[in-house]
Amino acid sequence: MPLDNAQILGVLMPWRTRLSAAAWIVTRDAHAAEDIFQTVAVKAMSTHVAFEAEAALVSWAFIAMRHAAIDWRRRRSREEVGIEAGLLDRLDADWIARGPEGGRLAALRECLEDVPAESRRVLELRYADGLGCAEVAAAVGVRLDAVYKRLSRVHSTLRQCVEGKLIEAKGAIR
Amino acid sequence: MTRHDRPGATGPLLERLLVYLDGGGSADERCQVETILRQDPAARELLRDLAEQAVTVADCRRMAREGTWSETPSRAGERPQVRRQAWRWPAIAAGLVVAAAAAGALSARPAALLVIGQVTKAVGATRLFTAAGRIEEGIAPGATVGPGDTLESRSSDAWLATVLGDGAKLTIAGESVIRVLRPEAGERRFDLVEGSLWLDPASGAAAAPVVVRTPAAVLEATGALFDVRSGATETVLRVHAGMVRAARRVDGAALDVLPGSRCTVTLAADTVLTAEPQPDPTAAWRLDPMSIGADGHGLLRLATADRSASLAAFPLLWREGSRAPVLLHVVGAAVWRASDAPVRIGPASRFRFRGQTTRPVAIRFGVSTQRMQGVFSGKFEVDVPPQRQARDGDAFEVELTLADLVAVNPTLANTAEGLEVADIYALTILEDAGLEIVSIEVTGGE
Repeated sequence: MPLDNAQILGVLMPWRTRLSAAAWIVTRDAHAAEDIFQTVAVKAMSTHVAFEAEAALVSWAFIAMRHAAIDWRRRRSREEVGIEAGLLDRLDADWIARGPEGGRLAALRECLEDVPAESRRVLELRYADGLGCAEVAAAVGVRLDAVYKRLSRVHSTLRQCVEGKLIEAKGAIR
Repeated sequence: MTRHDRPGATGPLLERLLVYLDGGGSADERCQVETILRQDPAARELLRDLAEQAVTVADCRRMAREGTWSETPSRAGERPQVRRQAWRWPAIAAGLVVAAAAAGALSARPAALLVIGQVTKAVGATRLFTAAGRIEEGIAPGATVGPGDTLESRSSDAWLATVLGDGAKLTIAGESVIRVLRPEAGERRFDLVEGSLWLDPASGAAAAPVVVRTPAAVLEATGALFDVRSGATETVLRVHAGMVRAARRVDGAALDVLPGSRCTVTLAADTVLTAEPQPDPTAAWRLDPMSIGADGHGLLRLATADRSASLAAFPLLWREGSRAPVLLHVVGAAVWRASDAPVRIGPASRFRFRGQTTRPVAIRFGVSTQRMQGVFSGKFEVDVPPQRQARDGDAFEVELTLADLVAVNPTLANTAEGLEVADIYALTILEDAGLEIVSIEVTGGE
């Protein structure tokens, strides 16, 4: 029996961040990625294609996100998307193999709360305000390579923090 | 240096990815990054994590901010930041559920806009003013509504039901105007400019909070069943299940209104805000054209030496869906507002209409109803041809029983018995036959 609307949304919700992230890799605009996710979710529920299984829906959603993200970028920029289709395929396949977000997103949100104010500002300028790194550098008064370094450090530490929290959580339920 | 500023082992690759995603580096360097990404699953994992962090940072900021799509200057020297709408995921999910159900209506509203509800039923003269400045006469079921939209049910015989994202149903009926506001802090917000509103919460689901503003009050509820009737200076709230917090706008005085209670909020702050038990229903009510005032629909004709005071029909363009508009001439009364006690229709109820037309013509009589202490329950009507009207020249008298009234929407209720009268009306279709109503009486409920 095909998934109904509530079931479709129930499947897509836990994939929201991953689907949006897949679109972000193309658009480099987090708000556009979120808009695209909404569009795709609505499309999934209003499309004439019936989804018989969750896996089919998730695969379709990644492809739909990518197409919508590429369209979005082409409408706004003459430059090519940059990342070749084969690589995007691999990224999507890895994401699907990784499964829905689980506790990872909650851990990431917790870790973000601990980010020092200056680093958080750089993160927000880059991702929430969508500034290029050169603009971020101008805004915070540092050199461009310092922005790359700072972002690199914060991303890296966030990864470690998330992994640490997930290990803690696993230990706690043993 | 805090633990968040410590460099990780993946630092050099992360930096290269950041440069790549920023559009920097030479063609060769970009090519090298892509090669690494193709060949190294760990590098792809790094990119995926980075992307997830990027969208989560933006998401957290959206959640933390309340704002609109306004350009606001940030710190000196920075580019103005586009402040995005403060979307809360539950609201978006709610919108998606609704929007998905809307399917065909999505072409009228881009999916990226926030959808608060979907119109499921529109009867009679209704109108939608969209936030984009468009006017839709005769709202089609399936239309989606979002922040900035204004919905109108424009006559005694009109009503409009909208399902919200959590499954709650919001109905307006009679002469009512409601504006959809931007959600804040996860609350759906509505401005009831005038008229009547019923809110029926979703059953068995986690209800989302809702705020209804009126000229006199601000009402907040989560999962409560209630109705509101509001004019320019007075709001009457009746709570049937759950609890509603009513705040008086003039001074902020607030009160929790419990099930079975009624609270009247006015623009004056000279009394203590109180709730009282809802009055027992009555079986009798009478329209007096001289005292109906703003609760009536029609033109008041004063009494003369040879005729009684009356309400004369007012023309109204009635349009439903894509059908051609029809001109109605309507006289009506908001019984719920005009009567202190709810008027309950019983098995022996009689509805007596006295009035006149300039020539014999079929007249449609009707009542719109709500469940006692419950939700809007549709309208019941009957067309009475001239030969069934007790006529004396221009004057007529028509008495209807419960059996005469036919449910316009039987899925809501197939009989009016046991329901409360919300509005009562008489109208002629197309023809302006000079319909005037001298009195309407409801009697014999039990």
